Amino acid sequence: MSIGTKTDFPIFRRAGTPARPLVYLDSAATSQKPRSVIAAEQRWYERQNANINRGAYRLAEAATLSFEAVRQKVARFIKAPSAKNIVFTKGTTESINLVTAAWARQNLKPGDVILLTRMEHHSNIVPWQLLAKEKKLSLRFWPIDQRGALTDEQPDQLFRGVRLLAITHISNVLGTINPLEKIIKQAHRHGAAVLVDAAQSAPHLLLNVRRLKPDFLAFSGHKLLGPTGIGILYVDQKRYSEMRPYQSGGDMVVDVTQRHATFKPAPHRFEAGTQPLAQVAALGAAVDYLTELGMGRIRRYEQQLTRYAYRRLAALPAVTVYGPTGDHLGSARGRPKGSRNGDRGPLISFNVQGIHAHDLATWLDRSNVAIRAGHHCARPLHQRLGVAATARISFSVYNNRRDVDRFITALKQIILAWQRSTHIR
Amino acid sequence: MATLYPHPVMRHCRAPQNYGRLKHPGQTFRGRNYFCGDALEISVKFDRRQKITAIAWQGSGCALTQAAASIFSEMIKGKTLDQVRRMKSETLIKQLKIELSPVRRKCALLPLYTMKQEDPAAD
Repeated sequence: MSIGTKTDFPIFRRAGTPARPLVYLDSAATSQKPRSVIAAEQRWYERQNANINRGAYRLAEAATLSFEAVRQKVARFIKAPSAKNIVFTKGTTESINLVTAAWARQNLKPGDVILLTRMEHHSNIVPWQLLAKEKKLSLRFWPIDQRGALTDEQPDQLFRGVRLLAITHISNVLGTINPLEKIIKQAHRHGAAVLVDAAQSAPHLLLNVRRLKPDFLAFSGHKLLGPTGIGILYVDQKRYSEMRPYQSGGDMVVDVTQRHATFKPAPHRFEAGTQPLAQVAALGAAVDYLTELGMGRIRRYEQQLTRYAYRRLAALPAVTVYGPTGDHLGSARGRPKGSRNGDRGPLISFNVQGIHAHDLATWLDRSNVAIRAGHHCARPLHQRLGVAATARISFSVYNNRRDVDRFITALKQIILAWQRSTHIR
Repeated sequence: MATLYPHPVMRHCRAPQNYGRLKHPGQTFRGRNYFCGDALEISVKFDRRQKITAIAWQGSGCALTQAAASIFSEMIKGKTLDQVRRMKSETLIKQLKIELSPVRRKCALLPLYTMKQEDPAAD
């Protein structure tokens, strides 16, 4: 196990050749999985599989213990006070939908305001749009500036009437890292609850919910070197009493009569039906893998890599890079005091003049370079940027400078070929 | 990396035919590629026998969509709307002379599906 290498990730041996290795630059969409994660899922089925919270035989009891041990592990991973704060879902999207249905629908009244930001992913916009229509709530969007940072607003005005702030930690398009500690304090001072979309931050930096103090925080297993089909919702203990069951059925009840049911306490109250047991086991292995590498070390490594990629990319003619500027990239100098606006997560969105992002992705793919192109599920942000689509590269622990170099070489050839093609008639 | 796309695609995306807007169109069609948000607008004029006499299209999009729209606009002149809507996807794809992945196929078929007023996902 070592940072910046691909030996632990089997896909790189299968999907590439030594001459044309897979240059995977789409980890913000989903990360690749280390062997230990894949093995954990297989081990579950081969040695541990039994349904949890019921059977009174040893296999089932061991399964329950190992399932709950992962909940504990996840709690430690984000510095949650207790495993009770951790609800398993099937992904960030379901985590947000859970808050919408179980908390917001019960606690928000007509006229209440939900504050979102202009840089949210669709998964943190659309559930609120639907709820707003249903409950006659209003949506307010926190604008962004030219550098892709949230604008400085008068807190009293910004938070007027706001009962909930739903905000991303790291923008999946701009890479902007929002200064959450300060923002959450402000929101709480104005009586608003806060939901954090941590899908892009949980895999890349040390999350500390005891310091950030969000009411809800959502992220996915599959962007975290873990399997698909498993997500996490952290809930502040005091919000549980304000929540109603979300999905209902087996496993979340204490007793059921013909007309009535009583429910288990949280978090189990919010986990109806058989959970994705093998995926939870594999999620545990993913958390172990990241913890062993060290989140602080991962952050520093990815920051350096991103800075390198930014420098090389921004140096190309005809390339426009979106989001926080390179001068501020991870360096304390030039950063506005008390703000981390210049900071950037391990991703860069860009466009090449005259070339559509989709064509770029198709042409880069010929060199086995995998990038994302499109609106990245953030149409309102792209409307703000004034472009239909952007191309995006994003990194994880297995990427290194050679990946960046191969990407830049391929990109340069494409730009050259495109410029030459102006003479085609 | 000598050629990015085959010659017909490059030629049409560099010098698109019938790009723009008609002054008094008989009918206007709008389509959108959900995958990328690219949008296309095609307007046409008909003669007395309902045959297309003039066509103009505009929109932002990738080279494939632009080239396909340009080629398509040449293909449908003189046809009725019914004839256009009965056109098979392959008839347009063949003109592009390029192998397309399922996702990029939707880029190329956007003009056709815009006039069919159907979702290219149905292709």
